[in-house]
Amino acid sequence: VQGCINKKMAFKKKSQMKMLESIFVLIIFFFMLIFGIIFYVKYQNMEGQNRKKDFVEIKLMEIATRIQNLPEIQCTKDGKYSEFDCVDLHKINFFKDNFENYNSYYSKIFSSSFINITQVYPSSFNYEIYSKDKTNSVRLLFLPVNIYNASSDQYNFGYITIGVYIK
Amino acid sequence: MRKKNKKAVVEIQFSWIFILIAGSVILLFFVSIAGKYKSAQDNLLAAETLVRLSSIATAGQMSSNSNSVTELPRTEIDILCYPDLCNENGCPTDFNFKKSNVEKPAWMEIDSFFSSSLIKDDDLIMWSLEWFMPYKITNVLYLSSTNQKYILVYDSSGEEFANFTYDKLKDNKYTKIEKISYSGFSNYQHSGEYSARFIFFGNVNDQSLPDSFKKATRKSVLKVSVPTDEDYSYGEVTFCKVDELTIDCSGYSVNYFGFPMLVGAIFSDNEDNYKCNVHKMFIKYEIISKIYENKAEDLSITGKNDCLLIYDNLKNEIGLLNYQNIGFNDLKENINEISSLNSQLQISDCARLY
Repeated sequence: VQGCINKKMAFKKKSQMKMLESIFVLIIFFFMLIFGIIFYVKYQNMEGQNRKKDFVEIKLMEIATRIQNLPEIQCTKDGKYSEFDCVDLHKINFFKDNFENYNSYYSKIFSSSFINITQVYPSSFNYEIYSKDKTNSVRLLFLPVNIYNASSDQYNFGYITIGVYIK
Repeated sequence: MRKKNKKAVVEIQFSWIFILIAGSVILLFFVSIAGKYKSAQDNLLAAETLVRLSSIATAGQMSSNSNSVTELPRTEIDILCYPDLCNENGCPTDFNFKKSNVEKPAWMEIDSFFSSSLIKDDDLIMWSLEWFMPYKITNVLYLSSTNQKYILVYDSSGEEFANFTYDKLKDNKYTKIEKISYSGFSNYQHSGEYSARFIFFGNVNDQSLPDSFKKATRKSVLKVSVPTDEDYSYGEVTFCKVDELTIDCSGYSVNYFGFPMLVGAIFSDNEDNYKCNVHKMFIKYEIISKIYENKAEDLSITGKNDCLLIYDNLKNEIGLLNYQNIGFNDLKENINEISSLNSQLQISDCARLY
């Protein structure tokens, strides 16, 4: 009888061992899977951060290209040709006085950013022509420009500051 | 012995059930990961397409008559605009890229870009033209694909206008454009493009498309009225309806101001998209007119005495420009007057307005 019981116990132990073995295999499998997923998610997050940086750079370049070719502020020559890297003082005066009326319209192309025009020579001044969704983190770009004053027929020197806000 | 066998059978059955359940869970897990990965990849592709589209739009604003072809694999873009919802901040535009959840770019609401309502190809063609009224207002963008063909059909009354348009459209060297006389139109053969747009010049409306277009997927017709004074910059176009092969041109007619707007009507296969883009062009036109009106006022104060009257006249003329309240001919006259006053400034040695 004892032999039979021992045999039965040994059989039970063997089954339990097998079951435990299967459970361990599954635990190790899921552990490795979860580890893999965590690693993948972290890697994707890093990629996402890099993409975000790239996106800010692209946005900055897009705004710079747009602002350099914006008929609203560009100088014109002979009525047909736009002068590159030149802004018209009378046109920017209009934006300085009215920029809040047009912020909503221009936010469709400039989104969360600001645009300032600064004259440094012969006299100095600074005009804000666009600003939206200000945050503390900002990526800046400076573009040197001529500022044409049609009243005195004079080209002054200045620069455009473009800042893209990073959320 | 029998009892032991029964136990073994239960154990084997249990193992199989366990394998089945665990297998299904693992399989489901991987299937859901694959599904999520696919939708993430689709969204990524859509987002990259949007970035490229935005770059194309920016490039189009840079220079006039810029023309490029961009490879966008498996592109299928639906673009729909709602002219009734347009306001002073633009026109709401639905942008659907492969039915992905990617948010449409905001510039689409204010930048005028004429295209058909469905672009389906691996290559996207961009073209831009400057719009002057009489000063520069904006660069107008045109989007099309290599799978789209434009066929200019003319009769004797519209031949000259069709030739003029054809020569201008040929500046866009990637787009398929053909010109045929109405006498040979019924035998014209479809060359298999996904979309065909017919542009009729002269009195060639209310006719049928050639039989070879019976099975063409997308076909549309625009009728361009031939102006009597041979000034092709201003005129009228009609968006015709096409039912299988029958053309009905009793539909929506609209004026165009400047050649870029006529090209816009040629590139839009749907009148809502055309109306929206015209609205966007006129929003920009009003902003720029206000800027020049303000500049004329500034110069009328600070300018030379001989020039003050001209600046005053210019300010008044620009103040009249309002396309919603002014008639077609009045607008044309008004633009010519502004242009002539600006030339007078140059003759009088005054600073030009534009």
